[in-house]
Amino acid sequence: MNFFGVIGEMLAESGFAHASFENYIMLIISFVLIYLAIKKQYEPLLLLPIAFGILLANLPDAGLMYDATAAGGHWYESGVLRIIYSGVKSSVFPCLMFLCVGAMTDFGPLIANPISLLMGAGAQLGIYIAYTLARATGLFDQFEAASIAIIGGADGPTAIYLTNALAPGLVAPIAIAAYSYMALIPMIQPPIMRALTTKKEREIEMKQLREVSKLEKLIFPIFVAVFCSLLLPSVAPLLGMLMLGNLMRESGVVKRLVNTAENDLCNIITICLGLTVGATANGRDFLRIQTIAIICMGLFAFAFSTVGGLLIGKFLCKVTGGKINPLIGSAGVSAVPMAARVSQTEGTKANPTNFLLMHAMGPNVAGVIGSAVAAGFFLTIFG
Amino acid sequence: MSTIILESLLTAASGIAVVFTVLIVLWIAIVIVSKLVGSMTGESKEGLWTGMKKGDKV
Repeated sequence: MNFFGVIGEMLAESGFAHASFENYIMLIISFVLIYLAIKKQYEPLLLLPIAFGILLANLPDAGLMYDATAAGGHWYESGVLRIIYSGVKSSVFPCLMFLCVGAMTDFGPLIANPISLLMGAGAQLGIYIAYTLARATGLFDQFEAASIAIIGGADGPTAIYLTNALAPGLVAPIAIAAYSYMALIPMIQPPIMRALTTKKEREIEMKQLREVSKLEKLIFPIFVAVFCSLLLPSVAPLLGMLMLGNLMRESGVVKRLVNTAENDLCNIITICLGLTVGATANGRDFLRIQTIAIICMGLFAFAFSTVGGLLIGKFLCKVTGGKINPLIGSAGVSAVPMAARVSQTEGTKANPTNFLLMHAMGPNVAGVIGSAVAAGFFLTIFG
Repeated sequence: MSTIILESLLTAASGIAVVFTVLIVLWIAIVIVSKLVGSMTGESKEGLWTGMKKGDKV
């Protein structure tokens, strides 16, 4: 065999020869996402592993997402990313992520100002509008429509958890859409916030929140876990883990565990979740009309959730005689703490002495519970 | 098609109702616990509803 023959044979066996047009498109998409993560720093902690997962999944013959069990083999013969993906498939990663979120979350602003719960509920409006729209298009069945709609909750783990249960084939586009919109909150929300509020409303300064006692902070996670899990058992894994993480934090007796949950565990889960969710975006399955429809409807859901939170915020502003700044309503979309930061930024733009961050954290954490309840509702009726 | 839309509207309406009901129950529970804890520990009961004292000006 001559030299050129060997080279030719090697190239014929390589990924270059086996890569499809869709693979190349996905590789370009992954390059763009890597650029956005590194250069523009759009949610880099998530976007970078997701983008690299897309890149790895679209290298033909690498077999990183090869499923040996589908061919009758053992699970350990599968590709390395496929094995890690079992954490997503089994919903272990989303639940562990909720444990970490619980360990990092202070429910104090919500307990101090429980009216925030209404804004957290209002900000789930987009979920149900998107559900109706997705069904009306005729492109999706009720399971897929519910999974798409949950993007409006702006909660990645909840979106993955629900989609895994109802429409596992849509995990990749839904997770990517959910995390992308969370990263784009500073661009999506402000125009809606300015359009729906007057300058006078945005200027409203809110009074400092009362101090919340330790006992209240201890009772809260226990009550939420028991009440919500009894009412919607399907959401118990998510809310149970969230509240366990929070109880660990508030108890103050397991500082080592809290430290692990909010740092190392959170980082490990973020890497595994991001990488494997990205790796499910194989060109052949991902580049479809359905994906574009999901991305459009996700944006629609997200925008209407912001509108819902703001409208409740405006209503409460009227009811309380102008004591509540409606800008904090948009934080009910649950992307913690980014949505609260956007409320703070917009409030400061209208009135430089305004400090809304802690007030916005109330609807923000209420939104986490609200979106989990919305997911539980879908699981109860469709699961 | 109209049946699908009607069905999905009903699902959406009941979903919104469930979310609001759950969160309103939590709201009531927080207020009750705050009152109980306040009376048990003798802490201030101010701002139970909005975090503000009665008569506070914005």
